[in-house]
Formats: sequence, C-alpha cells, structure tokens
Amino acid sequence: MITVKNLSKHFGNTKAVDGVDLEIKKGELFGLLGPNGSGKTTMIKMLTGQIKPTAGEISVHGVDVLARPLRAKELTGIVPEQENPPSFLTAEEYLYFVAKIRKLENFENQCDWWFSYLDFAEQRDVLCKDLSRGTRQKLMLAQAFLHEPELVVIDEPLINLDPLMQRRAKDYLKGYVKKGGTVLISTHILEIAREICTGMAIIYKGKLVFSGKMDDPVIGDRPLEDFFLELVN
Amino acid sequence: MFALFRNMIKEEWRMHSSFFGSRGFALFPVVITAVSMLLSLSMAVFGRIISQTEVLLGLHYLFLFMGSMIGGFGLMGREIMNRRFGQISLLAYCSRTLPVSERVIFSNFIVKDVIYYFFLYVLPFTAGFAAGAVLTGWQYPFFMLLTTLFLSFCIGLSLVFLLSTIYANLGKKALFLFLLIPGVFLAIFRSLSIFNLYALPPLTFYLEPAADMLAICLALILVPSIISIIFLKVDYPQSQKHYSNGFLKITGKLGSYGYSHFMAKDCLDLSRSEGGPGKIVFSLLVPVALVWLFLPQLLKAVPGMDILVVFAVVVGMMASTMYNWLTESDMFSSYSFLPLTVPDVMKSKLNSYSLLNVVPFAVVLLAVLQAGRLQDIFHIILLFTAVSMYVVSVTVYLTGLNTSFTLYSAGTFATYLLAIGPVVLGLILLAQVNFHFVLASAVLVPVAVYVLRASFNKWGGWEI
Repeated sequence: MITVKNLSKHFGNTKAVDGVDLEIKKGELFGLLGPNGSGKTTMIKMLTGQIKPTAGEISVHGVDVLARPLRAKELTGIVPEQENPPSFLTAEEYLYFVAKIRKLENFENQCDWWFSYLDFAEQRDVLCKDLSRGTRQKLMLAQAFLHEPELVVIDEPLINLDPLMQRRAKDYLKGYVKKGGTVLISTHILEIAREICTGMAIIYKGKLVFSGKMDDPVIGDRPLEDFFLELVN
Repeated sequence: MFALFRNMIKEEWRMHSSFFGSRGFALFPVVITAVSMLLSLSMAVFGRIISQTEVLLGLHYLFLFMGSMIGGFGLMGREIMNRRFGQISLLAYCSRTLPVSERVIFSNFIVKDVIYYFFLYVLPFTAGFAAGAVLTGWQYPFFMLLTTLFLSFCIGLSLVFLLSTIYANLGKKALFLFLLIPGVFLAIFRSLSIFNLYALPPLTFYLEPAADMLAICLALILVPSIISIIFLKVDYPQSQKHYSNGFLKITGKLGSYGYSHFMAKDCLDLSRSEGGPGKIVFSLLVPVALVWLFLPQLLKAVPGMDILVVFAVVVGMMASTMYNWLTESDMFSSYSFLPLTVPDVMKSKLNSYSLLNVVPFAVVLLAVLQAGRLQDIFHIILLFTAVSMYVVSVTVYLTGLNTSFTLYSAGTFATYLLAIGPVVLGLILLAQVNFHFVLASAVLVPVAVYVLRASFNKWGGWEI
C-alpha cells in the first residue's frame, strides 16, 4: 500500500527526515511514533503529496506520489495535524464543500451518519471558526472518510477528543481496517498505538529507528514506553 | 514591565519580517517615504486646484483613519491570525498564562503600537512629504507636521480602543448608540458642513498653535486610553450563531459550473466575515464615488484629459482590491490535504473576482450613461475590463493567495507600482492624444492571460 525508499526532507541545514525506508501493507493499522519534532508530520506531508521530498521515492496505491500528488490525494483520506477548516462555512457546509471537491454524489446521508456517530449534529449549522477544537477534529475525521478511501492518513488522531469520542473513533478505525482499509496514524501517545495498531515505525531526529509489528520479538514483554525510551535515549 | 514592552516590539517585528523577509520589511518605510514624496511632488500640478489647507485636512484625516485601522487590527489580531495561520497567540493575549495583569499587558500594547507605527508609517511619510514640499516650494514646518500627524494617528488609535471597550462591556447596541451621539449633536447644534471637518484638534493646532488646543489633543488621546485600561475586558461578547445551509442554495443556483462550490464558499466568506458585503462597498464603491465627485475638479489641473478614460482606469485599478477580500478569509493550508493545487484555488478566486466585477462594471456603465456618451461605451468598457484584468494579474503574480500581507514587502510593493503605474499613465496619455487610442488597451488582455499563466507556474510549486 505504501512504499518509501530513502526518503529525506531538508529545511536549510535541518534534516527533518533523513533517509527513511518504510513499507506499510494493505489492511494494516500502522502507527508512526516519535517524540515531538522528530519528523512525523513532515513524513506524513510527504507521503500525502503535500510537500515535496528533498530525495527519495514514495509509492501509495502504486501511484508515484512525486509525479502524481493529486492522484495520491484523490485516493487517500487525510486528517492534518492542525485542524483548520475554512472559518465561515458551517460544519455541514464544509462537508458538502469537500464532497464537491472530491466530486461525490449522494453524500448527504454519509454526512448525517458522521454527525450522528461522532455526536456533533447540534453543531452542524455552526460556523467552523466557532467550533471547539474537539468538534473541529471530529469534522476533519468525517471529511477524511467521506469518499470511502482505501487509505486514511491521520496526524495525531485523537488528541482533542474526549474519552467517549476517542473510543468511538478507535472502534471505527479498527472496523475500517477489518473491512480491508488501511490506516496510518502519527502519534506520540504510546497507549493509543499499543491499543489499536498492528504495526509501527519509530522515528527519531528524522531517522527511522524501528519498524515492525506490535508483537515483534525485539519488543518482547516490555511495556512499549520502555522500548520507545530505550530507542530514543 | 520593560521586558514585556521590549518583547512585544520584537514580536511585532518578527511577525512582520517572517511574512515579508527582514530586508523586505525593513525597506517598507523607505517605500512609504518615496510614495509620500511623489504625492507631495504631484502638488506642483494639483496645487492650482487644491489649497495647502485642504491638503493638510486630507493628511490629518488619513492618519486618524490609519490609527483606527491599526488599533482595530491589533484588537482583532488574534482572530485574523488564527484564521490565516492556525492556532497562534501573541503576548497581548497571554494574561492567562503570564503572571502579569491584563491592564499592564494592554498598557504595554498601546505604547508598543504607538512607537512601532510612529517609525513604520508616521515618520517616513512626514519626511517624504516634507522633502517633496521643499522641491515644489510648498513649505511645511517638519516638526510641527510630524507632531500633529502623530497626534491624529494616536487619537484614531485611542478612539478605537475606547470603542472596543464599550463593545466588550456593554455590547453592540451601546456601541451603535455611542457612535450615533456625535452625529445627532452635530445635526442639532451645528449645521453639517465641510468646514466642521477643520475642527479636528491636531489640524487646528497645526494651523493656530496654542497650548489649550494641544491640551485638547492630549486629552483626546489619554482619556479614552485611560478609560480603556480601567474598564479593560479581554473576553468579548461572543454568540454561537446558527446558519441554514447557504452553500447548498448557492451551488444550486450556479448549477453545474465547475467552480460553483468555490464561488459559493467565497460568497459565504464575504457575507459572514467581519463587515459583511459592506466592506466591498466601503473599499470599492465609496472611493469610486469620491473619485467621481472630485475628478472634474482634479482634471481642471490637467486640461484636455478625458474624465471617463481616467475614471475607467481608476475603477479598473480599484476593482482589484476585491481579489484581496477574496483571499482574506483562508489560506492554502485549508486545502493542501485535498486533491487541489495552489493554481486551482487561485483560479477559483479569479472566477469569483470575475463575478464580482459586475459591480464596478455597472458603475462604469452608469458613468458613461450619465456623461451622455453612449457612442464611447465600447471604448470605455474595454478600457475598464483590460485594466481590471491586468492589475489583478499583476497582483496574483506578485502575491499569490497572500495579497494583503505580501504587499507590505518593500520589493513587492515597488514592483507592483512599477508594473502598473507606467501602463495606466501611458493609457491615459494615449487617450489624450486621440480618444480612439484607448483601444490599444486590448493588448493588456493577452498580457494579463500570460501573466496569470506565469503566476500559476510560479505559485504551483509553493509549499506550505
């Protein structure tokens, strides 16, 4: 589903991502872990065609992301790190707007379902600028799944949600993967990764320091936190 | 206390220089000086129809307006910044996290604004204007002009702070009533005439320096500022409004047009953001109406110039400010994760711009009809359309989707003036030679298309 070869991104002298190789298979719920500033968001932006890498190759659904970033974005649902939907559209109007951009038809029921599932139907007619951070995150999650993509990439998926909504979102992600979808989440909250991910990669100072299954023998019986700290220290 | 002030100055400088580059922003006062000097030099021509006192009147009100604009931006800054750049905050809004009272922060904020914008706008403008005046023989005492323009600026700033305090404490209705009071008093006790405008205290002080007038000026600055500090309220009354789905209605009306959803969004942005559609009226139609009123007087200074030609050119240039409003409400990061490119969003804004051009188009049409020159309608409409297209293409090329911020860069602003000034002046002069020569403006249409294509290439590789 996602193949990355020798991927690098430099901002001046800073190597945000440095020579990363990674493979994520179809049907995985894959976690990209790392401390703050380790290069996770830069990596996500490159994988989804939002920024160009300095070097390397990226293939998503067999599409060369560097050559065809728009095609990659068409096939992927993306939840960016900073949830900033346009200020003066209501939540419902925003979902309709995204649906139009993605050239969807008969999307109204799908929107209704998301408002109900993530419990924000009462805010559907409120301007995005007046929504709380948590509600904006719900909205961004809904827009990413609206076109029922095979791959969804989510940067810090649950950070602003309350425990009830976190549970619903996690349940949805697990069910989505069971039905054949693939999810890549970027997070520094290890409990989330441990609970829902099937595979993970740990990135530190732009370099990949681990990639494997959650039950990889290298991790053993140790808590994920210990393993993570061992790698990044 | 001083550390807070120093860091606020640093913050303001770094915020501006991060948008435009340190050098580009540092040179902005130089551009202001050059523009004000040119303005002053133009008095060599317009001095025949406008008196020195009228020029001073205009300058003092310009700075009063500028002070109120900067005060307004400072107070609304957080919302504007968050909308355009995501969740960021400024020291002015940090009273909840810093062990400093809101009053101390706000006092520093006022002093910071006064000093920062004195060096950014007031001093460079006055220096340029006074220098130009020396060459034209119009004498202005530099320090007196600097003082009174600065006083005007500060009055504008402190009045906006007072208005915002009234709004924060008493709400929108109280603010409206407060604004209504001076108008009612003027209507009852004095005849409303242009001469009342000369009562602006800094201007009166300039014309007839006296200690009591200076005291009034200082009172107009200090009293509203002190009231604002005493009754300071950081949390503004906010209501969560509910809206019916306007997007669906507008896209329904626009049918299957490819950019209908973007145009619907632009329409909702314009109508729901601060100022609503009124801001187009204010930024376009009010100046256009003033131009139409004063143009015959101004053209007396340059005999032989065709009023309709100048009007069409000026309206064409002013129309491009609508592109600015269209790009004001969002930025590309809101779209970067969707299957869209920067040129896609630019094209959508240009579609909305074309639709909005119906307004200035109608104004030009009315002007032609009022002048009783139906036979010239094709020439004038072509001229307006070509200038509007050309100016907006230059704006798009230079500023992309960040028009209001990028034009503050000295280099960009100078390039903008150089790209537009000679072209529009050339067209006006051509028309003076022979009215039919305005048809040459048709050349601007393919030039605009070329510049727009170049813009799409230039901004297509832009990364967030």
